[in-house]
Amino acid sequence: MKMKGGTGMIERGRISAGQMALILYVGCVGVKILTAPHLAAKWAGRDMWLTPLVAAVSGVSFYVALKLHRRFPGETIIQYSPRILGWFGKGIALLYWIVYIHACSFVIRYYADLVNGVFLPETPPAVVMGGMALVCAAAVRGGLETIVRSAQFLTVPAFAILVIFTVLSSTEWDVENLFPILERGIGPVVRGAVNPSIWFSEYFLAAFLLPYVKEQDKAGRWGAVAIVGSILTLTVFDLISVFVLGNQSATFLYPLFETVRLISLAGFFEHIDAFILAMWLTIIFAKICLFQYVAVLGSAQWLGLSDYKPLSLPIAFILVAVSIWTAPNLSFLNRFLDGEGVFYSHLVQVVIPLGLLAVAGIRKVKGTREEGNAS
Amino acid sequence: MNWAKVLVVTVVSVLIVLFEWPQINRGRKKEKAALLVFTALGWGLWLLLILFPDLPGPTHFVQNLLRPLGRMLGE
Repeated sequence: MKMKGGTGMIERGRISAGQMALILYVGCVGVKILTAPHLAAKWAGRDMWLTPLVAAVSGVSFYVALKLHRRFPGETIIQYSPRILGWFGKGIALLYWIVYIHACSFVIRYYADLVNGVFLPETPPAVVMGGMALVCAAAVRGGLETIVRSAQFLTVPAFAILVIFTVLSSTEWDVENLFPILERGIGPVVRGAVNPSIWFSEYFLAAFLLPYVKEQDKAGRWGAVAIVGSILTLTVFDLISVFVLGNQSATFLYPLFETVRLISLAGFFEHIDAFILAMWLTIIFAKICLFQYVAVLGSAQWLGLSDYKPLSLPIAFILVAVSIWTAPNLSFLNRFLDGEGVFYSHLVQVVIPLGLLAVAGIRKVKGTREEGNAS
Repeated sequence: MNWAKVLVVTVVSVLIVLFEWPQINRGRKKEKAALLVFTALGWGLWLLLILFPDLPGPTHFVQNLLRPLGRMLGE
């Protein structure tokens, strides 16, 4: 099997721990900042700003990925799962590939519904999705370094601008909206945290990035930075939605967007919402890239290919089809991600990896590579 | 209308293969096979979706699978 040795070297790029943290952070907050206050507010009402704190418990998935990575350095879950469980593990690896294609389809779907709903009502969704998938395929061909560097270049300014513009809405803030805090107890907050916890469980994507991180010893710390950063970001954006929209947050599909829409600077700066959306597109681009990269890399590793680049376009092609197929409409998708979806994501991203870890411990399976060969 | 869509999807599939094929080094049979299989998979899926637009998707499948757990969360 000459392929065995070659598969590990399939990704030649190396990223820093900070870059890994950034891309995971973007993956976590990307969709949520714009859409999900809607779902959290449905249950928690004005206490929704507490939901990210509760949901962050799912960030434990990052440490599960890290623990597995320490046992199998230099390999992704697609590679070490067969090592732990043989042919059954190969099946589990295939499951991960399918799940990440499915998860990516949600993100593309959210993106396309927003663009179709706000910017391009007449364009067929397949064209909107296809455009994004094509751009992402180009980034994926460039490899992991290209993805994280473009994410760095695009999303850091985008987040800065998002923050500045949401602060500009401060004229509309009504801090009184916040009170009374926890009027109905902690129950509704926990229920409202169900949807955000899905995005936090996606920190498990680290299982695909950790093998390519240069500074292995810093990975754990940077993961914590990313998780805390996500909590703070989501809490701040939720707070602003509460300040501006109060208990009505649940009635808007995109609360942040509605908040910014109210901004009018000196009477002539209006329609800042379009600008905010343009910024958000760069964030969602980075997120789709991450998922698409995992799907492409996963398929190449599962098949034991020497290169993943030729698969970037075919997989983008499949992804667009799946994105259309995945849900008949946005409210179906929202209902799924606020119900069964949470079990789905935690089963795949927390429970199964923990099981793999336990079996690897019992069967005393270890990676064959030396730690630190990533340098 | 459907035939126009099928034509577009077919043209895109052929373009993908034509674009990627020359970039795979000679002798890499496995990579070429993977390219063809994945493109064919995509083409087949598109065809299915064009002919049966109401086909239940993967999300329906997972939802039905996990419905007993989902009920615990309440409506």
